[in-house]
Amino acid sequence: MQIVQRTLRLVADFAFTLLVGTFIVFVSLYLAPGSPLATLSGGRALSPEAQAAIEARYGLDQPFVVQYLSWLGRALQGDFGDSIIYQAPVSSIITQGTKVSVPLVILALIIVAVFGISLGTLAGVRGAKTDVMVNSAFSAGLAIPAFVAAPILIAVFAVGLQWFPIIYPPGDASLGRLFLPAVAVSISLIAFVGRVTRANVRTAQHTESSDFARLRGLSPALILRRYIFRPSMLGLTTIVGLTIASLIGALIVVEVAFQLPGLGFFLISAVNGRDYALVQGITLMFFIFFLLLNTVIDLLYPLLDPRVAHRKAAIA
Amino acid sequence: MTIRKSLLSQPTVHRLAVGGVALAAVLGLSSCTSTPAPQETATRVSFSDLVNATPAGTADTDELNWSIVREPFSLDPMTAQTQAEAPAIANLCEGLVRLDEDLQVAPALAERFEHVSPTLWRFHLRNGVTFWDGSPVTATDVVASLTRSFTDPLSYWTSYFTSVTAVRAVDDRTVEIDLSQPDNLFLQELTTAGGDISSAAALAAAGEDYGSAASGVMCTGPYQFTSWARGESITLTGNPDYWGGAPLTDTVTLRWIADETTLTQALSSGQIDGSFATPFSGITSLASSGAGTITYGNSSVQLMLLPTEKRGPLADAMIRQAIFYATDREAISSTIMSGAAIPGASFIPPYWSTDVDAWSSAYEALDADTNLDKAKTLVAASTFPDGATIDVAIPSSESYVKVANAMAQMLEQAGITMNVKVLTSAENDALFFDVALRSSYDGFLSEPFTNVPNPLEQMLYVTPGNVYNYGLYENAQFTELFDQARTESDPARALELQLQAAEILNEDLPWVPILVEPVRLWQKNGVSGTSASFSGFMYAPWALLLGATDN
Repeated sequence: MQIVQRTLRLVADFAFTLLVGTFIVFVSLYLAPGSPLATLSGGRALSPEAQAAIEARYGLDQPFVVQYLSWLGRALQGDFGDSIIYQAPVSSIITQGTKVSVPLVILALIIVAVFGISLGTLAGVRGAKTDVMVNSAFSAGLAIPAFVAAPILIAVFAVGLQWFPIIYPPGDASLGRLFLPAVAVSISLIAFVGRVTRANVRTAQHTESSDFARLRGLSPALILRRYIFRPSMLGLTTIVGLTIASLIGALIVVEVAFQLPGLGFFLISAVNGRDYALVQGITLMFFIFFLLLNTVIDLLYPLLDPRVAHRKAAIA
Repeated sequence: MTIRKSLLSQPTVHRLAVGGVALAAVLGLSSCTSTPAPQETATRVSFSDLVNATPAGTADTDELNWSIVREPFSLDPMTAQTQAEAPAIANLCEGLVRLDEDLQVAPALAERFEHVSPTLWRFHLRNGVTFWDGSPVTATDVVASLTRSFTDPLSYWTSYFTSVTAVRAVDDRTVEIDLSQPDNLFLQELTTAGGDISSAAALAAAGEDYGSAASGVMCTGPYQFTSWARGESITLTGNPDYWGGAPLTDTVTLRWIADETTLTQALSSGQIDGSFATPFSGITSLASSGAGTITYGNSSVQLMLLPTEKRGPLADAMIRQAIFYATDREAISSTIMSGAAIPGASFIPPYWSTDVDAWSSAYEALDADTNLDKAKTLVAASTFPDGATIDVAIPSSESYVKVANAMAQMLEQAGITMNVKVLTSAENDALFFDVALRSSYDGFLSEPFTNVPNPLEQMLYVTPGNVYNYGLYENAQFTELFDQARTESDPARALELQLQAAEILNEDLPWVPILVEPVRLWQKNGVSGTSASFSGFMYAPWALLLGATDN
């Protein structure tokens, strides 16, 4: 019974957050200067009849609240409407964008995990010069957000050295194409994850359990693996959500810079074009994703760290 | 006409890197105390350099990548009037007539046409022409397409064809068009996308979706619509059965790269084979790269200062003239535009007519040199003798920011304070719609153009009540001359009337000319055969003769 109640409450929270979130996005876009008509006409004057016809076609002649409610009503039935600037169902554009954005996020996560954790562990374990060097690199990395990294990477590797092409075949989402964008979003996150890993490793090195393991004469490799690395990783789960959230934020900038037609690219086009339906559709996807991510992390954490579950039980 | 941040500003989503460069440029310019001194540039384009086409390709080629300024919203000819949509459709769909290399009206889907009476045109369709799906082109398709283009509320072309009263099929191969009065613009406007013929069946089947990425178009052009990868490219495939002969290139892929630096590099590295709007910022490096050639084409595009409805200093012709004389257009052209633009001298686009001789003499006779003393005198004689302050809106592009800042410094010396307001792309687009927003500024910088090489079109925009006449310009003498010139059936007399009307406009300057912007065509080495004129790349099948060259 308690589970049912908790689930219902979770779903209600979920729905309320979505409602508020989509409403805020809709209001913001509505209040911003510009209109989809202006974008569509591309600086050409339209006759009043043409304006009226376009407004009627996309429901722009309705009052603001009616527009929002009608979008909401259709969205609840799975119909996200039609994009004005792409003249296509929003769902088809989201599908297209997902095919690029999801592999990009996965690739970036792999890069962040591999480099962030290994460099962080290295700095934490080695100390001294290595630590100073790696830690300095982390500081530099943190200061290079994706919107700075992207044009620099393009300038150096695509334009200067020409190791990567500037244009790709339509629909290409190959590793070669996604590599530079993934690096661009990863740089500051590698530094972030690396720093947390380094701190965790250093803490874990001096816990009672690891000291005891050393006294027992266990091999350094085993101590590193079991008594330092493993507890350090547990601490990392707390920042997984934050990392993925930052990745998705950076995605928007990087996809635009690399002309990658993913969700971020379409979102920026939609915002610039005041394409309400497309903005709503994509942000709704992001909202749902973040909510699910947070929920999963909340549920997962007690499983990874039984102490949390115990604490919760004790409080209850 | 379209007024748009077109050639100067590569359409952007957000150009972060270029933003930095623009900022540096602003800081650099604003820290100067005097106007920028002309520098030696590799390029110094003049009217005598301008051409309408490059030599036809001589060999087949598999695929060419061609750059257009941004992703089109639609491929429907009915809404093709900007430098993104029009060139994308130009190889797909065609009309009864088109402009040839000399910018003269030539037969296309109509093998011949007759001006039966001053208000009646008759077109005879070419035999054996089929749409890509194999269905024959009939008068029914022509009537359906033109009626839609001339009257549909969603069409962008209705205001150009207001004199048309009926389009009717006489028989399967003959179409007649009735006009309410003689119209010296009509036949040329028919060469634009506004005169394109689509399959009536395809129009009916696709409905409002005609021209979308999913529906595409069904026309008769030398290339067929193949695919449209949203956000990336549009692929056109050569039509082997084209009535004018199969094109040399199998596949033309249209690309759009927002960032000027990246586009420049894509051009110099040969990944993109050509562009009609080579970035100003890349002209010098491309010219010296040896990777291709820049050809300058005849164009109607002018960078101009357009007054708005606001009744401020720009409503006074003397202030507009003072701005014209105080602006060192030569310096702006050579420094900011890398010498790839020509100092503007007249409201009417110069040399942009089929009567080049008459118009060029009139143009050469104009007093257009920068003259600060004259500017000061004009200000003193204006309704703002103690100096004027104007708020001018510009789009957020590197070149615009540089030009506006340079102008502000120049005008200051004549006693005119120009406050520059940089708008986001959404705000800038809204300028053309939102009267309240627009009239919160005295004027804005933009790049108006005419679709066809006919000065009447430029004049039309400043006639009373025209949607583009934002500054509410009105001069009864001009309006009368314009009306006569548009309907006069004697060509010599019509030309005379046009020249008289132009004289008034070049004096009043309803819009202040700053630069003439020739088409900046880039072709990679070993590629040739495209249109170089503005109307050519906008509305003629510019890739028909495009191919490889032997050398």
